[in-house]
Amino acid sequence: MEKIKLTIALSGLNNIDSPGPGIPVVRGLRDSKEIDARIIGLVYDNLEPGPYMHDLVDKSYKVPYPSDGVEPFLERIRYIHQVEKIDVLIPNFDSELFTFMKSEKILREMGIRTFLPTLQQFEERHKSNLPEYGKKYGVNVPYSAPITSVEDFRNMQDKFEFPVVVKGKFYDAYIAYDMDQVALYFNKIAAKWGLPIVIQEFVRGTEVNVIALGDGKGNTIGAVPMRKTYITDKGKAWGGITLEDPTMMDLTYKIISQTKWRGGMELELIRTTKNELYMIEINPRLPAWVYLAVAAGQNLPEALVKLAMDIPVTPFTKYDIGKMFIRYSFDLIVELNEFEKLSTKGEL
Amino acid sequence: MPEMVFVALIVGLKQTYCKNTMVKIKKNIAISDSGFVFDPGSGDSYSLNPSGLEIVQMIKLGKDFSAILEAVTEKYEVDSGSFERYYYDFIATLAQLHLTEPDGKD
Repeated sequence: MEKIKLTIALSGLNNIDSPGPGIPVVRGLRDSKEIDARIIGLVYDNLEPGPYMHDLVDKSYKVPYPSDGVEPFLERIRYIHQVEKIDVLIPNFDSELFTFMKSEKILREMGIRTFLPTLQQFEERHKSNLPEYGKKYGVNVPYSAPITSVEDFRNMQDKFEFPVVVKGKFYDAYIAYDMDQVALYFNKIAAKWGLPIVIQEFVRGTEVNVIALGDGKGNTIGAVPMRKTYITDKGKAWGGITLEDPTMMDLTYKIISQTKWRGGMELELIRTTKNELYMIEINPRLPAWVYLAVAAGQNLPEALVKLAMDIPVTPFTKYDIGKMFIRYSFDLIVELNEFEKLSTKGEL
Repeated sequence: MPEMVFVALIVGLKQTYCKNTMVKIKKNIAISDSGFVFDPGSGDSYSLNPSGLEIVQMIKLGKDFSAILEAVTEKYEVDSGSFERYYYDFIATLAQLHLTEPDGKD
């Protein structure tokens, strides 16, 4: 079968100790037997490793941070599109999703396809909205509340018991055992990711995760459950193993079918000693461990691109249980002239 | 005769199984010939030593305590009193690791 040639732009090429999903998504696309992809990297920082990984990324362009505003961002995409003729764009950072969702129509008019959650889907699964989400869809969630100051937490302290989890709106989470630690982590996270900060009830148990892809009509195209077997001090998986867990799969199907979720997602769950599942977060994109799903038999990046291109996709019905990943670090040697090109011209 | 050694004996673990209970290893637990045990529900894995593997294989074949006792005392130099203690410690460990069906259920 002849492969379909597509130009695919994506971000999240920071393949570092807290990695973005970009490089694993590219690996999935490179494994595809149906898509012959030209990969365009969208880069925020000169030291993201992705642009220098030439066997995976064909060409890279610096892009402005989403916080700089939608217009400068779109202007840059317009330029890149003029040169590269992008078919599909896959944003891989939570923090840029809002910009892309807002611009979905404009991108489509330019001829660039995306496959993202709707704004409503994106908003209602926010950490600060989780209790309502749990109530609406009948899912166990820990009690949580958004705060904009430590004083806010003091006023609602009777609703919580220590320890509590202090979470950023996009990233970062710390367990705080007293008020001093709440204040410490509040300031630390707020300085990096802004407000609000979410205070969440601490649920004791084992963290398990599901990667999934919804077609936007209520169907689950694929889903693979995993347990982190090695966790870094940043709480990121450095190793993981696929599980056989019908309860986690049922929960995923239920959420995707009820919300008609469109695009990739990661469910973060805690399984208590009583075997109850609590949903602690929904990440609205494919996670950095996506290549484990590919290796287990579900090439979700390929399926996502096909959905974006309106190519029919048959839902995956199985995956390998007990498939493991072990992350590793690798010193990529970079010539100064390459770094110079990306730093000065914004292209490599 | 080789000495009887069991894997992961937990000293002082409370006896939770009575003699008549038929122990059943959960159906989805994968046990290889090398003694590698994989629980696909939790993702945990364990290693059994050869004696532990022999016992687990007999349990999987549906043998009850008296059949296992007979087979083991015939093959190894172990008295039935000691074996019984080792056996139930071992079974309690398997139960604690969620590798057996609760209350012998299938």
